[in-house]
Amino acid sequence: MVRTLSSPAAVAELVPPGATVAVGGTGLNRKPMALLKGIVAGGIRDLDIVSFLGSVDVEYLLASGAVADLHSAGVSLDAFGLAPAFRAARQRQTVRFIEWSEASMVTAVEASARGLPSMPCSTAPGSDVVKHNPSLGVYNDPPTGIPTVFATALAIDIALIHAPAADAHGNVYVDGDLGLDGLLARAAKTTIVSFERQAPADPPLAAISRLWIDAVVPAAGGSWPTECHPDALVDLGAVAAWARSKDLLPEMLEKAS
Amino acid sequence: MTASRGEIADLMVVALARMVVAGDVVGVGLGTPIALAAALVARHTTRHGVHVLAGGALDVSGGVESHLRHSRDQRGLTPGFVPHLDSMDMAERQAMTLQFLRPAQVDRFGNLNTSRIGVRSAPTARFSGGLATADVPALLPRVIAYHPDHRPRSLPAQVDWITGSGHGWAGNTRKAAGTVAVVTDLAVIEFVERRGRVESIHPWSDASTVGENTGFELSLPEDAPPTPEPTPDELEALDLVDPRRRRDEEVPDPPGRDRRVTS
Repeated sequence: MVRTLSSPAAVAELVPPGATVAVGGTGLNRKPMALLKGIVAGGIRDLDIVSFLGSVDVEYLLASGAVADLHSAGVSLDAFGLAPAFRAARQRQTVRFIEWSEASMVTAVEASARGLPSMPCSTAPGSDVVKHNPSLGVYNDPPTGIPTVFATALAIDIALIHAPAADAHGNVYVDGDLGLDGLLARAAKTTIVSFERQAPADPPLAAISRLWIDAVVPAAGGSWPTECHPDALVDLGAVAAWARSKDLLPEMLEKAS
Repeated sequence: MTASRGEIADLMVVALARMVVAGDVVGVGLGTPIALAAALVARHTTRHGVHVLAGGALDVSGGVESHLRHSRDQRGLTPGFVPHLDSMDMAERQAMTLQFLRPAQVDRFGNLNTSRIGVRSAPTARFSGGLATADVPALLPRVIAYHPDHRPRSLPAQVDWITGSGHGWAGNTRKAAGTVAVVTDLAVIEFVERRGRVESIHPWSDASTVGENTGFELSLPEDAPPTPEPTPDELEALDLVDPRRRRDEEVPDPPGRDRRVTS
């Protein structure tokens, strides 16, 4: 059964401190900001955050002091450049940053979704990303003997995703690139999806089936300031302001509700 | 001799575009207008089928600005769209053949650093992270780097952090050449048998400036020619694809600040 939560703030009851939380969306696209706000407001800390391609999601969680470990293939504000809170946190080493490449992170999540201990990936063995990421290692591929990078399955407790629409059964519809979200929903023990509006049920067309979803919650504007096609565009002014000062982030999100 | 940001951007774009060959499918990442302009110029100047995949959209009609638009606005302008995860599969199976990458550092083996400057325990600068740079040099037939601020720190003997290794990977069943060249604001350097060789020197530079500002030994033929100036065709294509000169944004202002100059 897919539960419907009363508000994004209720997400805090489902996320224990210290959990590994995967954040959906890519870059400035479909970041579940309302759900993240619920977690921060609920005082949930010490989280291991997985954000494939991070932006304001990672910035907000870092600025709020909610992060212990951060797993990502990259954090930036796209055209607005480097992410200030991410940069400061790495410079001061206030969080442990585990750097991934895109292919290796996709593979680690895929292994988790398939219930496999590890999977080979197409990342080059010579990369320092491989050398320093404890989940990656170079092994001789058993059938061929060729040195190959293997990614250990990335265990995820909670996946948080924002989508334009969900139906009454809890099927989720996405217009455009799904990014890693389909895999995250399958890999996570608990998947929570916030959505802009309710849509008529059309289960075969769902981007993520209700079978992978534990709870949905209505949250119009819940991706602000990132985009959620076709309901919301990126708020360029807000992202630009964000890029200028990391101290503005929590305040800006507070006002946005 | 000095050059303006605009002259540097123009010559870097056309030097990159000249390396595109018929049949190439060029992948372009985010926030790299020089790479985007180069791929689009090549589409105009190469007569036979060059394709550009930017932000998942294939062969978007229009120039740099329409590529920087959101995918929603591109719907009527593109014949094909590839989700992000599929674009990675395209790299794996070489349905994409070339990418222009803009790392913080490129070393003598063509290793690329997009991650950090300085030692791991006390870095002096941090960048976005591994992205696909750790993946694509081992997968694509060719990767070409570019750096608009040629100095020993940008082209060191050894990068501070190998995000992407400069050569292919034996496990790839298709041949990947790794980083085959780097185009800078001073010169065009090719990597031949894991050694950097100066192919041409930009008109405002010379061999000693290139040598002084490179952190590793280059094979520098005495007769290295000047990089040919943009042709009328190339200038026309540049105007067509990037009339608002977004390409200039990637060149430092002022260019070549504090560079080692031999006098």
